[in-house]
Amino acid sequence: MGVPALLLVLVVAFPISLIFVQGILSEEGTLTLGFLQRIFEVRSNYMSLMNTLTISLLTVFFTVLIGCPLAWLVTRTDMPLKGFFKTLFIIPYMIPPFIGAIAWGFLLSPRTGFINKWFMGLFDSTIPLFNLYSYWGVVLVMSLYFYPYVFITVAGALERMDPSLEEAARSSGSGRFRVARDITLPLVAPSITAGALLVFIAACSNFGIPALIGTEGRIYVLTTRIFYYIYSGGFEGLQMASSLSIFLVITSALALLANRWYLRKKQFTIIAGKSMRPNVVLLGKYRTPFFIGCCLFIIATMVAPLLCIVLISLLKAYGVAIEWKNFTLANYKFILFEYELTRASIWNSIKLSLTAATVLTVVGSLIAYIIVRTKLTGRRILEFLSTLPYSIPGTVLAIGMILAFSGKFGINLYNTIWILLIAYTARYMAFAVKSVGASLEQVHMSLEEAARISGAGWTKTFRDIVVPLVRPGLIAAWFLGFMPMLRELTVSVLLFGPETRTIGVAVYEFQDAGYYDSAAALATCVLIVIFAGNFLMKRITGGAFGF
Amino acid sequence: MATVRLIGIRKEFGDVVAVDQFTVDIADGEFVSFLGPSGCGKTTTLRMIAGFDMPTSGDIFIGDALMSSVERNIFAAPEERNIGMVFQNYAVWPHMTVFDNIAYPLKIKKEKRNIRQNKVEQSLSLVGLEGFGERYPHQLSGGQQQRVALARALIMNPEVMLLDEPLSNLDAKLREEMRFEIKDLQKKTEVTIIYVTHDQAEAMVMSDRIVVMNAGYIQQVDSQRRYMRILPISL
Repeated sequence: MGVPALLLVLVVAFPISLIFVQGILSEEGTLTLGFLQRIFEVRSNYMSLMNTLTISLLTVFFTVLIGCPLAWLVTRTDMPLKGFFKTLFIIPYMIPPFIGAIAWGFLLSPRTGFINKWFMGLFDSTIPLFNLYSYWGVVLVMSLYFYPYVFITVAGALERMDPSLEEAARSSGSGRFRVARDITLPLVAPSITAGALLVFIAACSNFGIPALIGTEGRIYVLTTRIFYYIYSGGFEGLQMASSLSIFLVITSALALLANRWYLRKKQFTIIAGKSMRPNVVLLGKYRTPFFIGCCLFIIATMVAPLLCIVLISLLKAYGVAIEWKNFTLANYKFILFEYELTRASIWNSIKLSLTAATVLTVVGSLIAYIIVRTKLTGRRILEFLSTLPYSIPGTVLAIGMILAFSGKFGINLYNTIWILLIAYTARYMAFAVKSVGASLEQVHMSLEEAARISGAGWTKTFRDIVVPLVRPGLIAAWFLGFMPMLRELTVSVLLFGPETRTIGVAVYEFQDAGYYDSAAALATCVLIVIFAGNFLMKRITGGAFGF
Repeated sequence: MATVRLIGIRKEFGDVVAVDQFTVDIADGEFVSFLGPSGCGKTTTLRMIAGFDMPTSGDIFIGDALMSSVERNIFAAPEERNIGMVFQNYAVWPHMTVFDNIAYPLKIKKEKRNIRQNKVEQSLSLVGLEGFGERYPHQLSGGQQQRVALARALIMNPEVMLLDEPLSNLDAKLREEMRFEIKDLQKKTEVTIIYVTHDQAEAMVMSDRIVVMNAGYIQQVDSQRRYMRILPISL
């Protein structure tokens, strides 16, 4: 208990509480409410707060609008290939949002985006069809990358709902639509809310999309504003960043609390014990139109942007005509073999992810064991601390790391790889604790007790009995940490130093500086690794994890 | 109250024949059990009567009305059949109070509020749940939920009641009790009941006639008394 607890206090509780301390302390060390002043008196800060809230709410609105009908189509109708579509609709969940932002930039940037160029050529106009670098551009891309949260939770509820609840209503005399309104919708409502709150939190905390799309159009949100202040440097910048972080934490914490409150109020279960086939609606003459609609949706929101990235990565220069003679592998050769900076970032990311994934699997299993298996007092606090870094926005975690480990308290890790290692491990600890914990709960206590009776000590029992039995959970924990770390941006972009660039940072810098072809090539590599890794994870865990 | 006639019902799921050559005449106010092991097609037959599954061939009459006929391209939706149904897992709506659950069929029929109030009060006392109206299902025991389901099925004065293994989730003592209560309810309401079960004793105690099913076919249709005499056939 002692070691993991101490570790969590040092790398989680201490840095995060520093943010609040920084917010309410003045330079001389007296108590102030300066953080409020700094938000509400600086107009651009206040605007960023309002933008965060309104953009997130609009994103919630659109993701519900997209996610619910799609969930209904794949779970409750006889649409062709619905199992296949179910997998496809989850794909945006796997793609890093900042890569999605880059892809949509290639399609809809006001002057050079493919769709806008085509539109302006067609109508001989100078006004683009849609300017991505705007408020609505951020909302659009966020909606397209965050709707899977709603889709997954709602599809799950629709699948598990006991069909006799709806049949009972039919027998009572309601028609199909009345049943949907009186029974199905109220029963799915908690899942819609849960999905919507996940979207809200994801949208508030996201950095990649507003950084690559919003900044271009001078639309700032809290995360990008914090980034701006850290870049402007100094005590002043750090203080501003911490003050904004407080608001970012409060926003997402309120959403989490709202979710808890709502779920407590709706204390009922719609999950039936046995497996069952849900009521299937025969689409009849609408079967083909719905099918075509889904195909078009996939093509427009996934195939086109991803293809666009791959295409641009293969062109000699950004903007040249798409002809055979302009295709080349030079961009890949450049980023993988020639340019020292990208080679170093790839190497850094691999080193970091391998180490951090291993550390978090080991520490995470210990914590999971303490939480699930022991009755030690304080294990709830341990659980809270281990999941906290993932519940708060990555930007906030990074600010906490800067405050704690940049020399003020004797440890200076700023600009070193160690601060990234700590941040990565803390950030994804929740995955390990959750997945190992879930596996542990499946293993009956008596199996361990049998080992103890047979003469094995605690360590031997842990090694010989527990570890082999929770192996799928351990493997999943490692992958669930490793995969997102490999392309992490939000935390890295605030913590990297001249010698410690990561892949995510490199892609971001290329795109930001206008080296679109190199950005596209590196992003393509990331996508390939993500899809391959996911496939591998699914194989190794026998389909229990991965998509 | 009405008769139920099934004529030559057949149901296929893909390549599997779930029910075949199912013909039975059920009299007005009769209590008939479909008895057989799981997977014998009894629940499928019940769901076809309710209108949740469409027969591959054959006709279903309730009273004089033809509810389902593939040959004549007739298929009445479940909500048009005026059938009460009680499900194995009760299917009491968790987001509504006991009162709202039972009142739902009346709400659909647009009954006036005070009539609804009276009828629900009546049926609550009929099933022995006076004073439980404002509770939510998760505050009730399994047996109480089952009574809510019964009350909800009875409140619209259905012509036929379908019960799909309604007692299988209850403990033994409660099951005994509920057998008599259901029988008692039928006497009071004179509704025609089709009762699906795999429990021989249950079928014998409650039914006027028993339809013994196996592998999708009717093996025997007999009065409860005669069924007892020929009993030693295996089930």
